[in-house]
Amino acid sequence: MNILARLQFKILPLKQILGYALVLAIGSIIILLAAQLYIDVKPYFTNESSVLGSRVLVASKQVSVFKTVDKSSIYFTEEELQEIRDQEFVGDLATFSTAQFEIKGFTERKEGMPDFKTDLFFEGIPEKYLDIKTDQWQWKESDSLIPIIIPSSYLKLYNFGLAESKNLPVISENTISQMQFGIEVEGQEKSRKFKGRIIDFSDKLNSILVPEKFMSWANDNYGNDSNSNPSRILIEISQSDHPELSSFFENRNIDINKEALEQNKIWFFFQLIFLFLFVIACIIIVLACVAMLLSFNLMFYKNKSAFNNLHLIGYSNRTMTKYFQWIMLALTLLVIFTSYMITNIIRLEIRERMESIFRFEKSSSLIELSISLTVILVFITSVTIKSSVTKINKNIQ
Amino acid sequence: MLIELNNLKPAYLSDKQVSDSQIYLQESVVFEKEKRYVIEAGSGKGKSSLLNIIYGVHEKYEGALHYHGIKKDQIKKDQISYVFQDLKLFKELTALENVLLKNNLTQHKEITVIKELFNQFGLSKQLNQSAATLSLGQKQRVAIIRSLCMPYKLLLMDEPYSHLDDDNMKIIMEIIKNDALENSASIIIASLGNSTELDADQILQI
Repeated sequence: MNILARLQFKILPLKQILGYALVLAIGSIIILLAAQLYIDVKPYFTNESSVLGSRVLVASKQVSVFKTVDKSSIYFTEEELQEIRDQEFVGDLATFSTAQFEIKGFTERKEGMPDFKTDLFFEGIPEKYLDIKTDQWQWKESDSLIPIIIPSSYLKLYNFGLAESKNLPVISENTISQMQFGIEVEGQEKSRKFKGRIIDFSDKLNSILVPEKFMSWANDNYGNDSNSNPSRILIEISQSDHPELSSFFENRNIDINKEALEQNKIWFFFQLIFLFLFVIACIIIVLACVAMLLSFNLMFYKNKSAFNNLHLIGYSNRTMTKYFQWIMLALTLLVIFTSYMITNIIRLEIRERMESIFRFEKSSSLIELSISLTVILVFITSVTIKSSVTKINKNIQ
Repeated sequence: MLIELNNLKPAYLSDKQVSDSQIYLQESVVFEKEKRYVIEAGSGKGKSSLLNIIYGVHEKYEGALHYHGIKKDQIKKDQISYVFQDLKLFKELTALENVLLKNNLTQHKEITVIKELFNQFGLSKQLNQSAATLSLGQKQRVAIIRSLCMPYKLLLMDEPYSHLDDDNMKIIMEIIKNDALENSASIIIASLGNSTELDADQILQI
């Protein structure tokens, strides 16, 4: 250690520096942890591709006793759809396309001989609203196989309701995905047979879904064109905390899936908590910085004559402050790095405990935030230290 | 010509207080290159203020000060060396460290030369002694050695031998004169009186 550094080390406020490091570490861990949890939890609530995720509502008209015969009022008119689109809180809107033709599902025990036959209904939605990622969700006119997604609740209903009471075997998702059955579409005085296979199960969407392309083709070729207005729509919400969101739908007798709104509320509260933590952590860091810089200021004034003398014998303010700036740089780097490591350990612990609730990403992405925090702190402390020394060496005699 | 003063006076002194001065409020006072000057005056007459004004750290003065051949922005680096009245040593460091603190900045003398100076100044035993425990005379000698650890065109000394005995003073002044000659530098010594050892070219009264 050179003589100047040794001289400066002797006047360094070590206790205050350790205190600063400790408080800075606490603030940094809170800020990094809050940011990390925010990043981890956000996709769960805001994933746009999620079927009826936190930002997508399924809306339909309320069915009342007066509408049971005359169904016309359960459909959304073009004006109503436009009114919904025009709302501030609506980002995008899509409709369920409904089958306007007859659909039969059947199984064949022997070739050409139907064993079991039932009426079915299909609906289609734009692919971006699917929560299921699969490359099997394709259909073209030459395909004889139609991929189908059904609600997982249907399978549960069978396994724990029908199968239980009728002493039938239970079926797993995997088993049912292996099975194929026949589908017959009929309309415009013609029919065609297809194969159908359930490729996946939706936790949130209560419908039997087929690719929209198939729906469009089948409606064109077999549809009776009785009513092209949709009865159910998908609404992507852009401002989930908008005060008029609930009342808008209530006033128009439109049912929406309340679960999605509840998720919005939970996400809103989560955001508030993250914001609160972030602000608290920022306050802690700012206070740590202020306390540290005050300690440095006090040290400079307490040792004013030493700094004045160094200046008088030829040391520049820059040379005098370099040592303290390096110490603050090294300390801040060490503290932020340690905080980063601690945050990752805590995250790992939380991840193991919450894996079943949240699908955490494997890698964490706080390096940019840590670097930014370090740069800001080092900049502030360096500039303040330099200005303090310059100030006490001004107009010395 | 090295330095020229025109009607110069520290702001805190009244015209009346400096009426007898051969320096203050004089139309022109010139300090030449490679000359030795003694400025004599009693306490509180403004000797230290004059040296501080020349060193560039006392800015509250009236009149004008002109440097000739001295780079004002490099005064402390290699233009003017200064033995301060209050010495400005660091009590946290040893005698040798106090000198090295300056020499590390200028890299002007070899450590062996510095140690030899300590020896010539009668401080060989105090090399590693804390500056806080040195006597005033010893501190003065350490401060003088430190002032020689840089190249300079002018050496300012503010009562540098107030606590030195005659024998030490003669030896030290001889070393200082030789060092100034080597640097082709001038010397200005502020003194209460009795400065015959410097063999001054001019003695000025404030």
